[in-house]
Parts: sequence; C-alpha cells; structure tokens
Amino acid sequence: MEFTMSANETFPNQTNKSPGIIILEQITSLVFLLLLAAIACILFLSYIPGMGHPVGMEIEVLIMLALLGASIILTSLLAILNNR
Amino acid sequence: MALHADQIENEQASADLDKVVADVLWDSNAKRTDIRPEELGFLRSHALKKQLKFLDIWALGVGSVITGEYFGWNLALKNNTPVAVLLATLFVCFLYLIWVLALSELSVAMPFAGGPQGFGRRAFGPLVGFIMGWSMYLECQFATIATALATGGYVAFLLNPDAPSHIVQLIAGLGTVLAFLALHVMGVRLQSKAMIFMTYGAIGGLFLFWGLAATNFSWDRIWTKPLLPADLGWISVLNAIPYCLWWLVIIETVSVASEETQDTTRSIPRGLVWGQLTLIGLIGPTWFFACGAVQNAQSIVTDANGEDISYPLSKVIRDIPIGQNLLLVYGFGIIAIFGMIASYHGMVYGTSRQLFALGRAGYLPTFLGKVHPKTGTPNIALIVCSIITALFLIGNLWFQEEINVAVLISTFTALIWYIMAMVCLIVLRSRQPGLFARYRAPLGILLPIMVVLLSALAVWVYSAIDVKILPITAAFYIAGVAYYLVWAKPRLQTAAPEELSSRLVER
Repeated sequence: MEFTMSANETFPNQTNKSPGIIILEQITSLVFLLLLAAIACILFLSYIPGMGHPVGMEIEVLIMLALLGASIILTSLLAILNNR
Repeated sequence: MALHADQIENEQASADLDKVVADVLWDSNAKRTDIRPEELGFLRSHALKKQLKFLDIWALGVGSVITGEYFGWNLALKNNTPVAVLLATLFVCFLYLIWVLALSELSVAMPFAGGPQGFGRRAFGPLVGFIMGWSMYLECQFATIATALATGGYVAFLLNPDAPSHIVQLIAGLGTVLAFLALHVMGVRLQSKAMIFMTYGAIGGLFLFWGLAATNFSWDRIWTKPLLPADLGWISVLNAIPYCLWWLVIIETVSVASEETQDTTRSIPRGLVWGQLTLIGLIGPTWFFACGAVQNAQSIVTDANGEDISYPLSKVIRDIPIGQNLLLVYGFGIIAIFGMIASYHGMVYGTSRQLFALGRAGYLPTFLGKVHPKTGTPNIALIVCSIITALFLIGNLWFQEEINVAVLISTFTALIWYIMAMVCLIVLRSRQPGLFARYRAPLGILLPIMVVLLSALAVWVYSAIDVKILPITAAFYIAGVAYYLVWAKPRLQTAAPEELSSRLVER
C-alpha cells in the first residue's frame, strides 16, 4: 500500500505549508469575502426598488470585474502551488 | 503464444482488482480478510481497468467541456449585453475553479466509478448516495443529448448555411451516437487516445476562430453603452448565469474516472486543475472575439425563424466579411465538429460510467453494472445511454426547444449535486479526517462554503428563467427516488466498491 494512514485516523495538520502559501491563502480568503460582500450588495441593489446605483453602473461593473478577476487569479495560483 | 497473452491479460486483470480492493480497504480502514469471498468475487467481475494517466485525465476534462465554447453560452446573450455575459462568465469560471479543487479532494479520497454516489453514500447513506448519483446521471445524459443535437446542428449548417435542415441534424446526430458507441465499446485506452487527438483538434478550431473573428473586431461592440441592459441592470447578469454554466459544466466527468486512473492522488487533481485552467484560457478569447466580431450580438442567439442557434461560432464567421470565402466557413465548420464530438465523447464516458456505477450498486437495474470480460468496459450501460440519447434526438423533430431545455436541465442538476457534494465534504472531513490524507485542497472550510453559496445563488436564478425546466427536472427526481424506494432499496449490492467501503466502516 502506498499510504500507511487509515481513513479513520486524525488528519495530519497543515502546518507544513510554507509561509508564502499561508499568506497567499489569507489574501485569497480576504478577496473571497470581499467578492461575497459585493454580490450581496448587487442583489440588494437589484431587488430593492428605488435603490439606484450609488457609485454609478460603470464603476460597479469595474469593481465586480476586478474582484472576480482577482479571485480567479489567486485561486489559480493556489491550485498550481497545491498540485506541484 | 496465445496462452502467454492470456496469462498477461489475467495478471493485468488481477493487478487492477488488487488496486480496487486496496482502495476499498484503505478507504474503509479494513483488512483484506474483512472482505468476504463472494464480495471479492463480485469485485473481480465488476472492477474497471486502471489505464488512464495525467494526460488522459486532462484531455477528458478539457475535451468533455470544450463544446461549451462552441455553443450554448450564446443563449446568454438573448436580450443581453456582452459585458453582462462576461460578468456571468467570470462568476462561472470562479465557481468551477473552486469546485474542481474541492472535487479533487473527494475524488482522491473515494476513487470509484460512482463518484458522487460514493460521496453521498459514505456521508449520509444510500438515499443521498442515490440522489447524488442520479443527479450526475441526469446532468451527463442531458448534456449528451444537447451536444448530439448541436453536432447535428453544425453539420446541417455546414451543408446548407442559409437554411439548416432538421432531418440532416437528426441523421448527423444519430451517426455521432452510433460512431461513439462503437468507439467506447472497443475499450477505454483506445477511446482515450481518440479523446486526446480530438481535444487538440477542438483547441485548434478555437485558435482558428479567434484569428478569423479578429479580422472584423470592434471594441465598441463589447463595451456597449449602457454596459448592462437599462431595464434589467444587474438582473441581466443573473439571468445569463444558467447559460454561462454551459461554458464549463461536465468537467466533473473526471471524478468518475478515478477508478480507471493510475496514481489517482497525482493524476486526478493535476488533470482537473490544469484542465480547468486550460478551459478558462480558452473561454476569454472566445467570448471576446465572438461578441466583438458581429454587428449585433443578437444575431448569434436566434436565427431568422426565431429558433435557438446551435452553431454560433460558424454563424459569426458566416456573418463577417471574411466569411464571404466559403472555403473558410466550411473549413472552420469541419474543425468545429472536433469540438462537438470531443465533448460528446467525454459526456458518453461520464453518462455510461454513472449508469454503470448505479447499476453495479443495485440502485438501477443490475444488468447496467456488467463489465465486458475482455475490454473491461460497461457495454450495456453504454448501449442504454446511447439509445436514450437517440430517442431524444428524434424527439427534437417535434420539440424545437429541446436543446435549450437540455442545457438548462444539465446545468441545474449539476448544481444540485455540487451543493450536496460540498456538504458531504464538510461532514466527512469532520467525521473521518484521515480519509483525506492522500490529498487536501487549499483554503480549508472556506472552499466548500464558497461553492455552496455560489451554487445556491445560481440555483435561485433558475426561478427567473423563462423555460419551465423546474417541473420537468422535479419529475425526473420523483421517478428516480420512487424507483429507489419501491424496488432498489432492499436489493442494493453490498459488494460494489462504493457500498463495500461504506459498509466496512459501518461494520
């Protein structure tokens, strides 16, 4: 057998991650939370009548594009590093 | 000589069986002596051959999905702007990126052909296992139907670009079904080699499309004023999501390939991640050049008769000045068929393996779970899913909206099991943390939570979609669950790998 650990044992902790990856994970998590907040705002603006667009539609679109783009890039980096 | 060949074959079959048994034992923390002789005998006659490597997995992931670049996503442009579709597309790319990371963890932990069926069975018992397996079967089956229809559509367009014939579409679709049934029956190794070849062809087709569409590109057609439709605003982005899911749906076919993969721990995560990144790299330019090349994006949504277009990239080339050269239109059309058949190929793989696994475990009629003794392929499951696809192709003659409905049912059922799979991941990480010792995805608990939240948002969006797919989908679930409760529940096959590993833990 290639693996000696059985399924019912406790999972070995993730402390062997390099500090760089830990920082990258923290930044990625932060961007995820910002993205969730932005999506919540958009849903709020869309479904509450008369809310309008507080910062203008174009700015809103640019913010959302930036957050989605950053989330994809950061997750891609983490995925590549995790599968080296 | 023949005897020697038989010996080699028997040794190979025995080695494959040993790997499946080893996976079951590791998975359930059991010893070889815990498996009864009759259970070992069942595994011997129902285990799939382990023949796939990293490149096969990458090609399966990319090839199965690449049809999403060739059709389906264009329906998101209906009364919508390119930027709204871009936002929905990025949302979907992000959702699928985090989804494949989490799925890798589950697929490495439980490397069986049942995929989601095994995840649900292990976390919550047989009913949830069945619902998840049934969801993936519906997802793959309807994706197969949509892709067969679109393949026929591309061929019909190629033969008569001004008025594609429904009969030609049907004949080409049925031809595709028959050809790929034959290829799959010949064995997984041969079909995987064909998949790699077709995937390269499909990627080449997209490069050609970008080059041709770039000749008539205008930035103003993408960055429109207003950016989002004035009457709908952000709701237009939400409305685009169900169709944009088609860009990437079905990549999870890779999860059912675990049982047939050598070195699952490395091949599955790397194949899934690199496949996903390849696809994201292909999606961006395809959206960019398709939307920026045509005068009016609505021209690639519906044709003059108001019917949904299943050949948008060919339509783009036909509508731009360079398309006056019919050689280019036909040349691209022929290459585009690579994209269609590569995906059809991967989808048949996913549909047949899910049907096979449900049959092997007794959730569906057990004859579906039989493996051909020589090729090690689930031939009966292949034949049954091909017949179902053929029947739906014929039905398209009377129900013209079928491709639209098939795309939506496929993506909707996919979202249902994505959410359930993430709940399974969270529960199993907590109950049996050692199960995930072989591979662990980054970002901890945040990863499955994000998948659940984004998938739930996408599911909620379906309530706003015009096509009435919810009752149809509900009917499929009711029929499936009724069959399980009335007939299958007392007859489950305890020796199937997904069942056996769960039962060994419970014993």
